[in-house]
Amino acid sequence: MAEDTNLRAGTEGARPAPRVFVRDATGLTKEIGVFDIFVYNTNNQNIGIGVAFLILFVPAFYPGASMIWTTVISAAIALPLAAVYAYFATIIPRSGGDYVYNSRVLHPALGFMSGWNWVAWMTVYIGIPAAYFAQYGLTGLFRMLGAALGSPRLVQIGNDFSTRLGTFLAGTALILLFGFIFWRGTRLYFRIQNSLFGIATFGLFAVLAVLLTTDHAKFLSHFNQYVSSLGGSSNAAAHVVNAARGAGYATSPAFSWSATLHASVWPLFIVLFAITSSFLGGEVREARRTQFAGMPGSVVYVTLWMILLIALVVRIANYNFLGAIGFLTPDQLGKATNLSFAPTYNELVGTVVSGSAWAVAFLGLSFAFWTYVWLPINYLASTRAMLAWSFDRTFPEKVSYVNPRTNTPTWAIVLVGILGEISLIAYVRGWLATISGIFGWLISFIITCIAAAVFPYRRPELFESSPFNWRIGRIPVITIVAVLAIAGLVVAEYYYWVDPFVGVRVFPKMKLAIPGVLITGLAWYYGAKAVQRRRGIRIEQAFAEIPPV
Amino acid sequence: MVDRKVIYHVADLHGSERCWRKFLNAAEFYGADILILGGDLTGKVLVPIVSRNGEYVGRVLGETRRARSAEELAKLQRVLRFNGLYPYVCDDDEYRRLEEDGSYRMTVFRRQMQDELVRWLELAEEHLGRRPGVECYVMAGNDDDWSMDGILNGFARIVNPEVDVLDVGGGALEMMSLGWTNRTPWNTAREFDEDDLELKIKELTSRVSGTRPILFNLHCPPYNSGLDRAPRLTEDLKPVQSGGEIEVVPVGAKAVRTAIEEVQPLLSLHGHIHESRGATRIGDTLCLNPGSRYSEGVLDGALITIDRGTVKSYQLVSG
Repeated sequence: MAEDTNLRAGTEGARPAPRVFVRDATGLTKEIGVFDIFVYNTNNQNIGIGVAFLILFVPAFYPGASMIWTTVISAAIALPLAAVYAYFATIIPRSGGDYVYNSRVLHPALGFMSGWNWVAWMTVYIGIPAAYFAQYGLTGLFRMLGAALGSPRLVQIGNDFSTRLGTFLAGTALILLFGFIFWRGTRLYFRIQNSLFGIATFGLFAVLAVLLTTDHAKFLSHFNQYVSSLGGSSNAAAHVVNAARGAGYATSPAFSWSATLHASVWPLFIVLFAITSSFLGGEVREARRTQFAGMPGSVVYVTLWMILLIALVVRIANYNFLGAIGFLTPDQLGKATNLSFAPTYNELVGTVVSGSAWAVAFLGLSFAFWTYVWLPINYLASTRAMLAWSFDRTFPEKVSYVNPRTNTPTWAIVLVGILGEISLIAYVRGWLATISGIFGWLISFIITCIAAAVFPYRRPELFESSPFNWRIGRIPVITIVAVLAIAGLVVAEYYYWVDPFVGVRVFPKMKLAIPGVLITGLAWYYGAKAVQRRRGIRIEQAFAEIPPV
Repeated sequence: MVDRKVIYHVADLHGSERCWRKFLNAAEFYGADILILGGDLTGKVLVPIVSRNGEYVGRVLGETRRARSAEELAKLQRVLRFNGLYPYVCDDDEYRRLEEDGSYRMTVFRRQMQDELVRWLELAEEHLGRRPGVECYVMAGNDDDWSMDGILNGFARIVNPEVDVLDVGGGALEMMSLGWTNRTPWNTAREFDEDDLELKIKELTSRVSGTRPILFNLHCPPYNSGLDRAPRLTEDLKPVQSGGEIEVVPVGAKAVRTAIEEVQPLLSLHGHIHESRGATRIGDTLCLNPGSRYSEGVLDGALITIDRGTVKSYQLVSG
């Protein structure tokens, strides 16, 4: 009978436990594998920019900090968080993330506020990566090309990208480009992103190969030659260290646990974001295996990559040199080396192959991808969140208007682009620093972890029907894991607040912005509720659970 | 002119008893006058609970569960139904037959779907019997076996609008319904080539009088409308991932889009693509897909208020 083919044995389990039987029905896709989840989360964690920041800032500003240990500690803080999101992703797949978890488990107003907070900080990290693209991506690329081709003009262009105006213009162009791409439809974006991600990953392996075949002496020689070709000193490495010493940098500091913990703000910036696959799901799945291996697993994977690259960069360049080059102000660096902006690890590695224009072009381009990768991801996610709010009627209907020609939400794309541009300006003007927004963003994570901790008590039926209704004694395991995650996040928040260079406490505007985002989120929710009630729409119904008969 | 009517529309319950029980209570909860379930009632997964050595063993979402008493067995069955799965209690011999004999497996599966639907509809009769002012329309979708129509037609408080044009809202609106879809990768019961789908829709639209505001209740969303965006799949049905995102592509029916463009109904209600919850306009027609998260026990729906022949407001809700 033809019908026989409409049934197949399910993939869940094997003897001795009985299998389930799945009939052919819409939406029964195959599970996204562990490897895919790895790729997804690895991309969002951004190994390239993570290693770049650790090497640029930790030896320079956290003397005595171990880059390896701070990365390991950050991973330990990130793991319970990843487990919480893997848990939610398993039992509430395809749910639109924190907004829905928190609305359902805690309260609609809290859900909206946490979603609002999430989107607000996501849009901040549209503008900031746009600036990274200019400062860390294009500057390095053009300087390396300039050195390889002997073109002072290219070197100057590279240096221009690191100026305020250069960063603003290049960042604006990138935001406009992605706005246009999203307006044309996501298919084009997928195509571009897929190709560039492959190049970027290959670039990491290329960097690894160079690092493995280079020693300290060879690196110094190439670095000096590189700076010399850019019009700087032929003994630049020594000049860098001497200039830094003169500016107050203490070389060869003793190991310090305190500095190591303070430095964790940099790797946490990377590994806390191993949770994005929580937005993926299927219907008949073994999500337990893939999400639990994929989320916490990718934290481990990225951590290992970062440790490997950091250890090898330190091996060829040494800690003092890295600290010194990061410590110098652009003016001081310019005097010592003729470089207007501190080189990333990629540019340092690129000095070794600077004889080949093709090699430096490849290294520069592949790294440029890492510098902006968060921009389109956050752009797309923010647009989607605004559409969801519009459908729930907490946002104006106009935001969800879809252009009939391109089938894309024009106004949402424009609105997110404007917010991204504002964050770019704020970054360029120095109102916020690279990671000063993370404190605010983590508040949404904490709210979600609170939702996870109380989930078994607030939604007992869903908890009991899930494959993770485990308890230790009488306490649900998810409650214990969520409390651990909250503890880790509170520690992270402490360091994001007190950091002397990029912490919230040194940015007065951030002190206002962080509570301001939360308050405006609540105010927006209750304001929209009042406005819509007059139109006969009850916003609170958007997530109110219908009691079953 | 249409007086004020509140419509509550859902689709794609796929065997979730919890969602069905919520649907039955939605009229009271939201103050709705008209309840519409736009296709895909039945579940996709049969879960054998095998009696072995004085206990019952089954799997829930990859996890082995054991029941050692009648009470525990009932709890296990509840958990499965909550997730939209069909529990089936059997012994080892029958389980082996289920594994080996595809025809028998299909027979059992179909019987389970039918029995569960009858149970659902009996519950509806009892509950809606106490609410005579509420109209309730329930139709099958592409994933539902053809045998479901006969069952749906046998209950007084439920109207099966499939392949029909009916007066709804006390004659205030004219509703055209179809649970069919264009082709899917799963070879489901009610899927057809675009040409056949177009013919069937044309046949239905020719029966629409147009003297009252028109409501389309079509399970399949219009092509390239934003309500039909599903993951692009590989040949072995695995979602395609590109640079940190799952690729999505439009999978709706061109025939549905054409019908909306030509007839321009007041409202067009859809389902089918669970992950494509949203609202859009095609010309003057408001098109809605409430999406579905049945496996979480969440009932995603659309609330629409019609007042004097226009859509006064709409809202996507998760109940």
